Amino acid sequence: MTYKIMDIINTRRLGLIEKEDGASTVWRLPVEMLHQIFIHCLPNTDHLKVSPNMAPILLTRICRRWREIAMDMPGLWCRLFVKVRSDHEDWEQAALWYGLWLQRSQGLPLSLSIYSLPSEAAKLQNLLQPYTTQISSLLLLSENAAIAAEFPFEDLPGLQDLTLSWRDNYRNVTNFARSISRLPCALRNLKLKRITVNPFESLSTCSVWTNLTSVEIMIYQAHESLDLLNLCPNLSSLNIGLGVEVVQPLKACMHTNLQYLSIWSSTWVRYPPGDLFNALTLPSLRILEAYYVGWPHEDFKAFLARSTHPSESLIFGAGMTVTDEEQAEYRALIPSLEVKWRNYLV
Amino acid sequence: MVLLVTSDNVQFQVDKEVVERSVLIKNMLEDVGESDQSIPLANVSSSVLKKVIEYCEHHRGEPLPSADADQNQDETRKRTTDISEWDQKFITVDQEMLFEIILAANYLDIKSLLDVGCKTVANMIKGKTPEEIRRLFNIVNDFTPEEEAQIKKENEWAEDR
Repeated sequence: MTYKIMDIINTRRLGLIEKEDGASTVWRLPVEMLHQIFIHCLPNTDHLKVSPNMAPILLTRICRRWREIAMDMPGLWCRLFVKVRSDHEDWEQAALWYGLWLQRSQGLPLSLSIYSLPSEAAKLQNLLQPYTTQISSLLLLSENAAIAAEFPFEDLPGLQDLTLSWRDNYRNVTNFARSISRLPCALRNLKLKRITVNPFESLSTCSVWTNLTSVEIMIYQAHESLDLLNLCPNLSSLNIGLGVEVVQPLKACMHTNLQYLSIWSSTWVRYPPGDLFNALTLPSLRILEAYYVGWPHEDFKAFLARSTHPSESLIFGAGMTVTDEEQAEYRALIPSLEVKWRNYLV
Repeated sequence: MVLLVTSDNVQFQVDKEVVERSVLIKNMLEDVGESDQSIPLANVSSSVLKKVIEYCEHHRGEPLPSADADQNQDETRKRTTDISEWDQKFITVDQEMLFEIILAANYLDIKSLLDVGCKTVANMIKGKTPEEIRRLFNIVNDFTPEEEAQIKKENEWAEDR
């Protein structure tokens, strides 16, 4: 029995390094331990800026051992913020360093945030060309939507998460629809930040919607949110900004997979989504959040009463007015319902 | 109770529930079954084991991280370096002891303690210059002139981002 215990101990011991006299105590840590420390050294941001004063580059500047370990750790080089400027004095040099960074990811899935002017799309394509199959998450920032029209989405077969964000609201929906239609079928999460899609019908012919599980979008008409739900049978999370009030009667819509719904008003008009609640049946809904919308108490109560699977959380954010009595009525319908208040947009 | 014997031959009687936060010891106990045998820990000194037991005592009864949680914590995802107040106080030790705790946590397979140790070292590194980091950990700058030149070139470009 003692032998068995000693065997297990000796096997574990092989992973440990003997202390070298006079050496730094940090030298005693095996490479696997340094890996863990290095991963924790990365800034806690979605994407990493190329900075000599922050990991991972900082870690390559300490000594040869750390440099070798850091450069051979693909996990340190998978998240990158790339900026393509038109006034870039030496793009070739920049592309070289960005390329070196991306090479070190050694084939692991990449999460990229890219700021580029539409006029620089060709530079961007050349930089990303060797890594297109690796890109699994992409945040594309620009001045306007022309960048999306130029971006080779069809060459990103592994793209699962896409966020598009630009300053100008998109008006050329036809071109935008063309961009959306080129999105790969692996895509699961789509966020259209600060982009009001109007009219939504022009996008609805794209097949990409079918596989999506999470969508964030701003639309003009309430009925378009129902069109969206019908287009996306696998959706489990929907964050929707509504533009204007209902102008046509809504058809009843049941979505069996939606678990999370966030509704907010994208304009100063606090649209009360009562007609939406009357039209919707969401048997799997667990969490509902609302921001800056007029609150249709009676319609929401009827919506709750129709729920076969009771929701777990109701979250009210900034710009909401819901009385204690109203909240008590919701709890009376669903005793397990948790009502929370939040002061920020998610 | 389980009897543990350290590298400097000190014996510790520890509650099974406490000591089983170590996956290594838990597996050993499962392998050998009920036994009065002591468990020798040749890689852990008494001063370090005392600290490890203090940690395990405090976190007694908390759920152990699952294998699934390990897989989800892959290297490509961003992580937080937040450490709870108690853990921070616990890990406020000299550097020698800190590295000993990390080595012991790795050897004994106590993932949460290993995490606390690694996060603490990472927090010591963050925000420092290379020279400060070398001084802190007594690391010699052993770059060749060619490597220095390459690093300098890389930094000049990176500083401009």
